[in-house]
Amino acid sequence: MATMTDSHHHSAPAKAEPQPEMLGYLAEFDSVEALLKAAEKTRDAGFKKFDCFTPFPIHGLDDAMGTKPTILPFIVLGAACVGGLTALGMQIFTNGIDYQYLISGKPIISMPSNIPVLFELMVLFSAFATFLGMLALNELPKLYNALFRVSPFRDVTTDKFFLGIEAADPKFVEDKTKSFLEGLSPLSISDCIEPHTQETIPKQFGTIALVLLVIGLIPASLVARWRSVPSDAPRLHPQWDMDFQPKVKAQTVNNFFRDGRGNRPPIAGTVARGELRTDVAMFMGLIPEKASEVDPATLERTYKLEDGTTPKLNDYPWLTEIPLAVDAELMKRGQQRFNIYCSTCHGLTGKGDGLVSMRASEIANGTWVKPVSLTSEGVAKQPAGQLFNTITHGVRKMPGYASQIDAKDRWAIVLYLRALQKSVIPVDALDEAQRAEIEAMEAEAAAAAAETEPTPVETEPEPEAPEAE
Amino acid sequence: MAVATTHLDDITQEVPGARAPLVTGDHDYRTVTDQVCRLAETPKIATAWFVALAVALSLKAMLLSCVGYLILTGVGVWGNMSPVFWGWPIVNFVFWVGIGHAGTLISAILYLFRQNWRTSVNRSAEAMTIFAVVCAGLFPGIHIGRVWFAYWLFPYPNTFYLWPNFRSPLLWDVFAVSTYATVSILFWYMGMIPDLATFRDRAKHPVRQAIYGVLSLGWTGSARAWSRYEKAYMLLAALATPLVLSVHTIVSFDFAVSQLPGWHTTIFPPYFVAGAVFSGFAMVLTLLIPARILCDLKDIITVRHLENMCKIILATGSIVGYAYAMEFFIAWYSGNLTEQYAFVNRAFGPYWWAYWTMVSCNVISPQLFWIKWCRTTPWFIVIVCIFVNIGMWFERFVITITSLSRDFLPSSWGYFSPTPVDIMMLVGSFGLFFTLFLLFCRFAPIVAIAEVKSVMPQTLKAIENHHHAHDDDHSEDSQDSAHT
Repeated sequence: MATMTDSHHHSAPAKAEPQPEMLGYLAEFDSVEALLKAAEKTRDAGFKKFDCFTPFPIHGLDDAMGTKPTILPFIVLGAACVGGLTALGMQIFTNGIDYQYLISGKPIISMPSNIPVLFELMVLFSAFATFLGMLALNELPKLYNALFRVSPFRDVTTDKFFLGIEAADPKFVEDKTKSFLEGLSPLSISDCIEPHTQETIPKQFGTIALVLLVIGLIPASLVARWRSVPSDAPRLHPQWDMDFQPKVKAQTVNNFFRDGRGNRPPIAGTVARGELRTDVAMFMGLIPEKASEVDPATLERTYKLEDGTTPKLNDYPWLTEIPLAVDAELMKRGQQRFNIYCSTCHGLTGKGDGLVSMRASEIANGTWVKPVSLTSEGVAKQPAGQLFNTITHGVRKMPGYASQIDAKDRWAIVLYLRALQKSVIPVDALDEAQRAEIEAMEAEAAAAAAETEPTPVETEPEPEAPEAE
Repeated sequence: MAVATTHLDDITQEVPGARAPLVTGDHDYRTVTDQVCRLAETPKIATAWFVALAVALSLKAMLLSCVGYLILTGVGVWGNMSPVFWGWPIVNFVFWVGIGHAGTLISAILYLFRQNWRTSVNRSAEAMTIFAVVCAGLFPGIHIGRVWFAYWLFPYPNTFYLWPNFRSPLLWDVFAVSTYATVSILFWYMGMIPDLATFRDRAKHPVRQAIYGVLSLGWTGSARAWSRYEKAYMLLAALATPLVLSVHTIVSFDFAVSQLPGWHTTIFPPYFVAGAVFSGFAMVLTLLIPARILCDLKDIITVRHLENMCKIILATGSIVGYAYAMEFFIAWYSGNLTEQYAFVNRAFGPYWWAYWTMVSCNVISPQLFWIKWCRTTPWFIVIVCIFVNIGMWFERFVITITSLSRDFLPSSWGYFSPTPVDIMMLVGSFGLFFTLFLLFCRFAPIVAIAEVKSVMPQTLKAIENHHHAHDDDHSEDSQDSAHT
């Protein structure tokens, strides 16, 4: 294939360097008409691998050359379908399946509102397919092309027209093809030669590219590091007044108010919506008929009579029954609330051995008032209404829990207290058999505890212990 | 029929059967190329360009410092305040997006309609589109408050286990505007590849050769490549046409889908699209009339081109005027008191000055283009176009502000006042726009050279002659076959 002109014979050294390769002829024309005629003749002469080069698209040149229509529209059609399905799938998955949005009671998957994004993504995918497909079919980008070595070819993007026949064409015969081209009366004919010189990109380019690559990776690696390594540095606040707004937040001190509290209690004499509690049985634990005898102010924990003593609450007309339907659900609720609010001091069994109390006794011995045992006889004898009142308003050092636990839950706790109290039987009331049973159980538990608490030295060398068992 | 290339003394004359040349003067392919490349190739640039760039850059610097101030301080630096939470930032966004639409209309819709005159102006109009979308995208971008979370707008798997709400017009807007920006850039760049190759082949300096060489991707002007290129161009035009209509439709959904009096109307999509084209053409003319003098392109961007664009302004301006009237009619016809009040309030309420500025700029001023002198006198066109641009900005102001400031509940009514930052940002966005446009004039092919060459009189004549020759061949052929 490689054909060389004489001049190239001289320049070719004896070494086995790649030989210059003849790629084809390039005929130059000065007008659109001349080129159209030449293209038709070339086509009719049976050449396949030839091309015209023009500064602008010439209508009719495709026919003159016999170019087939491009498949690009079908590529774009495919991309449009992919774009549409992607958009639809994305919207149905994100808003209909993975994180369901209920907007104005409309169906979870509602097509009309998906149309705009569907349309936009179809256009977006198609546009990329058009552009990239056109480049791919035209084998672009191709920054080096032997054609650029032909000096008159520089004018092809200004005002010159060229017709090139490739050496790869089956009908290409060097001299015959040249004389064929001469017959088309061009301005000139140039050889298009690929010299195959060992021209390489200067080495500095590689170094520069490497340095740029490394510099370019620095931000990405810093971000990756910051995201994966915990930091003690305080976070950045680009907008200081957005993160620290001059407003009152819950549970904070605020000197604007006389009591220094940020949280505001309800204004005296006002009733919030849904808070008008007229049912004295439910909300005060009193017998409704006799409730008028009681001054509600005396129920407060801190209330003192004129002589400095506290009112005798035991004599109040307390409700003896829980004013709610008692069932297992209420009991469970009571247990759960008790374990959250009461057990910290009173202990899970109500004996007064809660963790807070134990710790407080240790560090503030002498000043800490230990909570009473809720299973003690004194408490067990109190009517339900009085227990409810104690939870509501507190007693001695215990604060009231009305603000944290609503009335129904307080009654649920009273119910659970009753269960706790029933679960405790004084030791004196046990008979011999029961005592023996309990002692046996305690001994067994102690033995089991000793067995399951082996020293680390024993267990470590036996990693296969479970298998042996 | 023969394409008449008869020399008309007045190229704006309408002669039946004759077609005015799209390039005037005694130009051949080379001189046209020289003329377009001049600004990009001369080492000595006109002082006017530098002065314009200096002004634009200082306005842009003002914009950037306002943006920096806003990011560090928060969106409270704007006049946005209850009940008007969409103040100037959204007005500016809609204004700039609308400006962009003329570029796509010229490059895509006029292409599909085979309006060959578009070739002289489409490149700069497309550039204008992209620069306008840059300005537009800036405003909602900073309006979200915490700019560094702008990526939350897009659906990506995140640690909150949240997805954006695809039923919100604001999210549609994210997709519409970002698709529009992307497709506009693709369309613009693809259209520039052959002209960048021209720049490459004419470049003397190795750096220029390298840059334009890479940008032109190795384009050789191969006819087989042209064939696919033209198909791709046609496809992109066919895609961009519904896209451009969808974009301003979706922008109007931002308003129309919410249930505010004055916003919740079905007229919004067509009315917004017409308004967008209207304002966009006004901006194209405002830019091109000085640019054709600065770049000496009077032979390529002729008075006839200007006149054609003025006609489009007249048409779309009339549509906009009709829409204003129809809004009032529908408000009255609906019998909805709140809707009726919203419109009476627009015209006679506290923002009456904005409403009547809008009407006089948008409805009255383009009607001057019925007079031929008005649409063929460049300096006069610029004046009218500036009025149109002012009017279209006020249209968005009237729609956004009047409806928000007085909605259903009179106790929450208010009056919007902009802050100096609002004003500086609007003025500064013009600085950004003009900076980009001036740089484009200096470094890129401002006219689609290849496309202009394909509609020059000599090209059309050559192709015509070739076809005639064929017709003769065919008649000979048929005679031959008749003989045999």
